[in-house]
Amino acid sequence: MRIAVCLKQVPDAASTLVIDHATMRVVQAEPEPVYALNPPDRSALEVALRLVGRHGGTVTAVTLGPSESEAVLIQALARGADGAVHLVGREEPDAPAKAALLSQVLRDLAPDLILLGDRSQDAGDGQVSAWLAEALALPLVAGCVGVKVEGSVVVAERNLGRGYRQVVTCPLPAVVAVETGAADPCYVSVYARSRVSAGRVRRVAADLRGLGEDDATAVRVLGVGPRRIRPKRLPAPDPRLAAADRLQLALQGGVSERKGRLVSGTDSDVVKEIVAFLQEEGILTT
Amino acid sequence: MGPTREILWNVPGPVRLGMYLGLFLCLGVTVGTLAWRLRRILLGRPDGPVGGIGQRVRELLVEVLGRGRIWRDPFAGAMHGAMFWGFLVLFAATIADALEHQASVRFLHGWVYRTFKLVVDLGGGLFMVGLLLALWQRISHRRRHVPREVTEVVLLVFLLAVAGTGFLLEGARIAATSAWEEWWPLIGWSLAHLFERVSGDSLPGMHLALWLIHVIAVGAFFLLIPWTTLSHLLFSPLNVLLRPEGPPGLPVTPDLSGLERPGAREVGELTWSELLSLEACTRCGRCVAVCPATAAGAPLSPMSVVQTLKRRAVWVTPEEFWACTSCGACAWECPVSVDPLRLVVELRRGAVEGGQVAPHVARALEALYAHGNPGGLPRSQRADWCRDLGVRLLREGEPADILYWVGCAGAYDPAGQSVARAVVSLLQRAGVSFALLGVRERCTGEPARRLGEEGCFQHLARLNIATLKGHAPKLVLTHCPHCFQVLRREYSSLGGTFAVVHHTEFLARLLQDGRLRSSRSGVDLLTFHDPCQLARGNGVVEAPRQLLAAVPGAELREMPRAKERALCCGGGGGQMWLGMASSERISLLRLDEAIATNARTVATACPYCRVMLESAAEARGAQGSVAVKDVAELLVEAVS
Repeated sequence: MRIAVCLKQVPDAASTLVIDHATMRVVQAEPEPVYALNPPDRSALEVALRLVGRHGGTVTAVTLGPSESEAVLIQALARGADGAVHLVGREEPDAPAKAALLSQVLRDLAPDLILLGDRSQDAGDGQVSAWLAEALALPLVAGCVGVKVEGSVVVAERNLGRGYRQVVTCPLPAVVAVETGAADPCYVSVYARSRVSAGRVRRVAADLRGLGEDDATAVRVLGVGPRRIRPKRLPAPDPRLAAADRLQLALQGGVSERKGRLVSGTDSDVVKEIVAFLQEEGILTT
Repeated sequence: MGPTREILWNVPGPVRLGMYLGLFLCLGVTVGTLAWRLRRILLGRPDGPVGGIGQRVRELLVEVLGRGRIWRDPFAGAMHGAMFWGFLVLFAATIADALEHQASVRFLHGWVYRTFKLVVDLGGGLFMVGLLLALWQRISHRRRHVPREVTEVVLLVFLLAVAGTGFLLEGARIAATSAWEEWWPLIGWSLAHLFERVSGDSLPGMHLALWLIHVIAVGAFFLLIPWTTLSHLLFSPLNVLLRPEGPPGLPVTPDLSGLERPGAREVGELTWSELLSLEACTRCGRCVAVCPATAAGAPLSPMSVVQTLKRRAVWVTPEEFWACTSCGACAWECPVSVDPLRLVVELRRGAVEGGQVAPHVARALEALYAHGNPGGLPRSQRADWCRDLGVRLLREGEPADILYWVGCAGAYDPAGQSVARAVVSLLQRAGVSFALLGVRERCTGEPARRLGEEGCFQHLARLNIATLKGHAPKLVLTHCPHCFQVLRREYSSLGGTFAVVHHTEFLARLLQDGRLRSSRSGVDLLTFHDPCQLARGNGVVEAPRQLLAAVPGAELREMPRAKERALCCGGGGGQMWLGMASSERISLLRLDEAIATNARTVATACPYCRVMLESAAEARGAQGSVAVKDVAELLVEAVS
């Protein structure tokens, strides 16, 4: 089985972050920038290596980013990945463009399974997996916390929130996006990283112009600000409530019954009902 | 010719020949086996250089012939001394007899013979007394740390039999030849009276039988040497002679640029020096008696780590080697220079390289690499604690006379910051010109190294050495014994040699020079907890006591285990991040020792010890009655 894992280097979450108002991005205010492998991507790598350990095959790590982001590929190789491809590009494009760039490399690799983190710790729009599946015309299973392969089918456990899990199957090849909890990553020693030869990384120039779409910045950032936290006085939560509800009470000030409506029927019926609901609520206006 | 005796009396010629052949055969087999063992040791990985041979020989003579480390335990010293000197006398006598017999050097007659017999007899007696003491401690288990080992008991009984048949033999000869005037072999002569009732005709036969048993036992003794604790006759002195350079507990520095993977995942990956130390262990259990992890009920016993590796059959379990606090008490105590701490670090290195690390340890290690501190706190905040103190922060390339190395605890931990502020205040009061590295300081790598992450340690060490060299400090001052140990002792193997001083030494000097004067204080009874890295690692025990003596009104009450014998606080060896229950129990054990002195203040000189003992006091609900303070904090109260 051939598995490709998309990895992203992100600013280390523990570093001091400040807003650069000129570029409207969050930047590090550290003596030297500190980077890390995006935590869910790290879990994706771990899932890939364990699948290959069980079923045999190879793991290729792919990243898109500036030259210093090669560190995540070195980490992947030290952990046991068989190959690494670095799409070298300075600026960070938006999700569709990233997916388009990654899809060029991934098409050549022709993997049976593409694993990646559900969302990145910095940009965090969580769209790349969807755009990538679209670009490669592959099915997508997102939000996974457990991934198994049985024959030519991937069995994934998805996190529905509030402790609920959904188990789905999907034929291979497929794109599977995992959350951080999908696997406990293994420690990779500094020595092991130092022993990886940089020659094992294949470098490819990431050329946005080659994509034929210059709308690489379809999404524009209008403003960036710190999260506003207001202190508030709380009544003691009802001890009979479930722990999750008590937490929610503390965080949001109240628990209410979900007003959600379940729709069922054929796919087209369901879509029609959802669109009708969105129009009713004024979310969709055409 | 005065009194003498015929050597090998009553032994027929062919039997004598058989004895010589047999004994030489046994000796040959033993020498061959030992040579094979030595060869296997030499197949180990390279270790540090072995220099200063004159000093080493001197140390060996003190350990072997004089009152070395074994005498720190008087019972063990007396027991071993009796066996050692007794054995030496018997051994010398055998050589003398053989010389007299074979090389026809006739000197055993007259008063020389009498003295010889008396000395040999008493030597044999001494040997048996030692054996009986050893047997008593193995069987009675009154000295709890000495393991009850069946093989040891059997061996001791066997040795008693060897010595006992020797005495009986002497007695039988005296009785058979009716040489009752030969009273000078006192014990043999007394035993001769046992044979008085035996008829004169059967005495020579009885003597020959005893002689045969004795000789066969001696042959067996030779053969047993390589396979029992007796092998320490060779390996222990060899290990004392060739032990690694520097203080005990110093991990080996592997050359990571070579192809070698750090750490050991099989015995063959240990260095030759570590392999030799495995052979040197005599299972005396002294390391077990002082190990804080053992005392706290952790599954670790330094002796069993050594013995497990020596047996080469099973591997030491992670629960054992992660429980170590790297306090170095085992290595300090070992009479034959075995260093279990070094082996623990090798085992941890093996686990780290295999990725087998608990998640919170992995987080600490990753934080060390990325942020230069084990807590994963931003480097940009490293100098926040001293922002309003008016200290000089060094710019790149700026030379510094005295560089104050703050360490991660001093920079980030509230308790540590309090110590660092006290040090700064004292230095400023004494008019010392000093400077800090600020955000350019990184962890020395001590926790990484003790946790087995040698690559991370060497990475941090290289960065820090380059930074320090850029300022060419005349003196590096630090209040953290862990930083102190690494900066002073462990950077040199990576090319960084600095003059390093602990704040207790430096402040004691300031007091002596009259640059600091203490006037008042709020403390009365206090006790001092010696940090392991300071006392055992670097022998700094007097400076902190001098400081405490300068605090007016303070009366120092020592704990039973003080100075180099101090019990660990439980916080070393990366235990702060390992979060083992045993580590917390160790801190409680130590706090209880401190409370037992009735002291109201527990002074220490290490930010780790301070945190461990303070939280132990909280756990005991004693935070109101016992205050845990660094000596610098006490001194700053006394001089203000």
